[in-house]
Amino acid sequence: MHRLILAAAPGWLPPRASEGAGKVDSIFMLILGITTAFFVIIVVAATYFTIRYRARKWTAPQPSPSHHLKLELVWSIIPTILLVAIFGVSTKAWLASADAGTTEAATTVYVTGQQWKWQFEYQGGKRSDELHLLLNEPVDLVLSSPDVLHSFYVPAFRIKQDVVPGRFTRMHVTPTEAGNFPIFCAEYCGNDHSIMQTQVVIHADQASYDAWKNEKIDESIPLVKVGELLFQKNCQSCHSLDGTRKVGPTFKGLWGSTQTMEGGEAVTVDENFVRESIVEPKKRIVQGYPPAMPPQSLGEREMQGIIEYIRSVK
Amino acid sequence: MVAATRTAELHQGHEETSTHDNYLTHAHGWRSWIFSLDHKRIGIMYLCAILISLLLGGVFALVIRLHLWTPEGALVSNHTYNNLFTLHGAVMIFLFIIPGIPAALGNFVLPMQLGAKDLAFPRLNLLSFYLYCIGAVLFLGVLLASGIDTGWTLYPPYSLEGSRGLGVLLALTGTFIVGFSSILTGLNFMATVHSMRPKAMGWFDMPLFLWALFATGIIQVVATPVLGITVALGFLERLFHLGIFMPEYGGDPVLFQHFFWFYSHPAVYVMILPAMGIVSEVVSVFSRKPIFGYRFIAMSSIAIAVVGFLVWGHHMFTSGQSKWTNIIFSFLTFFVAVPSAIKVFNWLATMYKGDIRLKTPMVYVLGFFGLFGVGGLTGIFLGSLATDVALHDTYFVVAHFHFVMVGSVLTAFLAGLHYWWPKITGKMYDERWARVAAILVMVGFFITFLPQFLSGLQGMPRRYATYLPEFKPLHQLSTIGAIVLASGMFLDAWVLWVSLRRGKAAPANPWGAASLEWATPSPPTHHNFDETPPITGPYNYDVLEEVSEEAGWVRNDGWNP
Ligand code: HEC
Ligand code: HEM
Ligand SMILES: [Cu+2]
Ligand SMILES: [Cu+2]
Repeated sequence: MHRLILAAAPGWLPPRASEGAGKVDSIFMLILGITTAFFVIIVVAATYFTIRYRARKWTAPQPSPSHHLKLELVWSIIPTILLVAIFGVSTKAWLASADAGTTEAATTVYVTGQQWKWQFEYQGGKRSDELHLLLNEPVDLVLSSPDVLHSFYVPAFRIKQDVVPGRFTRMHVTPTEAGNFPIFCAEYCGNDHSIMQTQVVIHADQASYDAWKNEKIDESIPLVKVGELLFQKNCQSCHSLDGTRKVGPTFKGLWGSTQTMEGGEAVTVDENFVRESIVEPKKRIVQGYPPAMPPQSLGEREMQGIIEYIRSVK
Repeated sequence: MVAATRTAELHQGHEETSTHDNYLTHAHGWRSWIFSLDHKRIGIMYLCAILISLLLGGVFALVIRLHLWTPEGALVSNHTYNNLFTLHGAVMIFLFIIPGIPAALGNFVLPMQLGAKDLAFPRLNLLSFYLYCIGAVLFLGVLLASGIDTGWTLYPPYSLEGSRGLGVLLALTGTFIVGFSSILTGLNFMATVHSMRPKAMGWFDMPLFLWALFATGIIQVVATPVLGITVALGFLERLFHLGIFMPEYGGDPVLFQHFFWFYSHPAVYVMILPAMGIVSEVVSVFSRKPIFGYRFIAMSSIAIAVVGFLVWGHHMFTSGQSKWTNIIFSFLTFFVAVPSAIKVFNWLATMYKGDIRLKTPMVYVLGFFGLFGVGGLTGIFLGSLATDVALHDTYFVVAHFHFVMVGSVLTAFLAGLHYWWPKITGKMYDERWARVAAILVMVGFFITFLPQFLSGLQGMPRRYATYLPEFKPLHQLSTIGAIVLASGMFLDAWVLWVSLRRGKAAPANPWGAASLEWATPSPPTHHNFDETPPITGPYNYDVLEEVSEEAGWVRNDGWNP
């Protein structure tokens, strides 16, 4: 089997970036070979018979048996054997990747899929919305969802795993190729399912991984600037600055104003309300808006920054 | 179309009443249709309803394909796109392809292939037609009114959230009513095959289309109630928060997937078995050879019906179900593939040393071999765990099931429609243009769906309203194919329309087929048969001789309708 594993993926397959991907491809090629052979047999036989036995005025069907036990046994048994073989090879490869996570000591990354973004949290407290991994370092991904079904799909790993609300699912992978590869949501999850994409960044060496892991928002930049950066990254898709209505209310003139919540309660927008809106958005919903805001966990300085920023948007 | 058939028939009728009184001229006025207990008229009403569904689903499909012309989406908003693919899938599956062959063609042909006057329960048959209509109207009404955007698979928790949930449950109630109509049709078919077979016709003297409909009946009766149970559980969950499917009440969304596929996987065999039945008939008749390996084909229909109940879990390999569950479902999936493969060899062997005539139905069936070949063989990639984990929920799956559902079932439906058309309408159609249409449909099909295997392999997920630019060329090819496919369908509709208006009168047996529906005039009389014709075996062509193109084939034992 192993000799079949190709070095680099041919152009019509996505790049391969994990240990398992090469195996999946070699099984794919095996099945492709067998099925192509069958397909060719079907097409050639159908074409040949059509031409050879095409009715002419003077022909009549020639006598031929209407069943033939030996022939029928042959064409029942050969496909059966081939199918059992494919089943065996494929299941073995799949088990190898499914079992790997339980035996090896691997680092763990918690993956949250929610409408419509991915969030990754690493051991040691780091968070990101792109998945950062280290080359050749096995990793366990523990997936969960606060809302609906999603599916975490990395074509370069040839793996996907559904993300099921109410339980954890897991996935194990060892990256073998440095670079950036797309991540898709593969299970339909509502309106913006098709933009629920991000990427996995595989660092070539520990130094580059550490550099990313230790990168912090520079203490010297002013709070408003921290807030602005954060806004552009995490809030802009739903909140505007100029008064237009997007998914959520605009930030223009928000600070200090009085807002009516679902249920009629009137709230003045201050530090605590903004914090609550970010950490627990579903607790109080602004009247006339869908409960679509994802909860976010921000560092203290980032929280202060976003408050400063909202205050500055007049 | 009903009206058209009738007016056409009336025009024609003046010259032809002298020959015979047929089921179309037997009674007049719209009441004679909507209250008719005649399986042939009910079959025609079904045919019209089903063709309307096909047209509707097809229009949605075209809008979807046009929207995907550009990566950012050319036509509609994400939300509308999500509505469209839901409508397209739901209409095509629940209203067209599941009831299609059995309810429309099966209804018309089954009693006649048995030499019977009608189904065992004609009133039940009319009831099931009305249930279909009521269910379809409810279903479509709810889908359109509430803008459901869940996909035809309706996975919770998304599908049961908030106000969407009630809409989804109402729509599901609609599908269950449609489903109830298939239960009744299935029961009716099984009872008819059991009780109305002539004495001289043993089980193994039946045409294979009957075996296929019988096996389909078993699935319809056993699987469809699960759909009803699922709806009931959904309502209980929504109204009383019992904690069945929704995690927020302590339920498990994966449980819903089990229920859904326990019905929906067997449902794919409700689609393909009757299609295979048509192929068996057509390939034998147009090769003028008894079908090769009759008993095997007959029994494999039953085997597929039974084993088909044991493989639903192959839709859930990535759902997080246990390792052993995955392995067992994968293993069983490989086993359903075997009988399907063997059937293909049997059909090919039937052509060997035959006298092959490339009439339109046979052209469709030759296409079927290629299309079902691709569809069935790509099922193996999906049944195999290592590859499915990569391919699941990508365009590869979309291509696979379109090859089996559209490529195979739709072409078989069209083969059957053209095969029985002269019997149903009493008219011949223009062979040349019908063949052109057939080829356009199939070429268009390949152009539409072959590229989707590639984009799926490259990682393109399904149900995306917008996509990464690198998939653009493949998507555009698909869209072009869809336009070719649609033009083939419209050309064919035109050919059939012209045939209704001014087609040549069809002889009783234009193709030289030996099964009993051809031993009655075209169109058949109200009671099908005045006396049961002598039974010579469904594939015994020795008793038939061709008189001429116009007069068709007659029996040489002196018995003719
Ligand atoms: C997916 C869209 C989305 C994103 C992303 C999002 N929000 Fe929201 N936000 C909403 C919606 C919808 C509402 C109104 C409903 C509610 O109160 O939850 C809202 C409400 C708010 C409110 C209360 C506004 C009021 O009028 O009282 C604040 C404050 C807020 N968001 C801050 C943020 C911040 C800060 C970010 C970025 C860190 C952010 N939101 C990101 C959708 C979003
Ligand atoms: C001949 C052997 C066949 C095999 C081995 C097979 C196998 C499979 C497998 C494993 C899947 C799940 C793929 C996934 O979601 O990842 C699948 C999907 C599907 N198959 Fe098949 N299949 C076969 C024939 C058919 C036939 C005959 C039909 C219908 C006429 C059919 C219709 C479908 C549909 C509708 C889906 C996907 C449904 C969805 O996810 O929306 N298949 N098939
Ligand atoms: Cu999604
Ligand atoms: Cu299935």
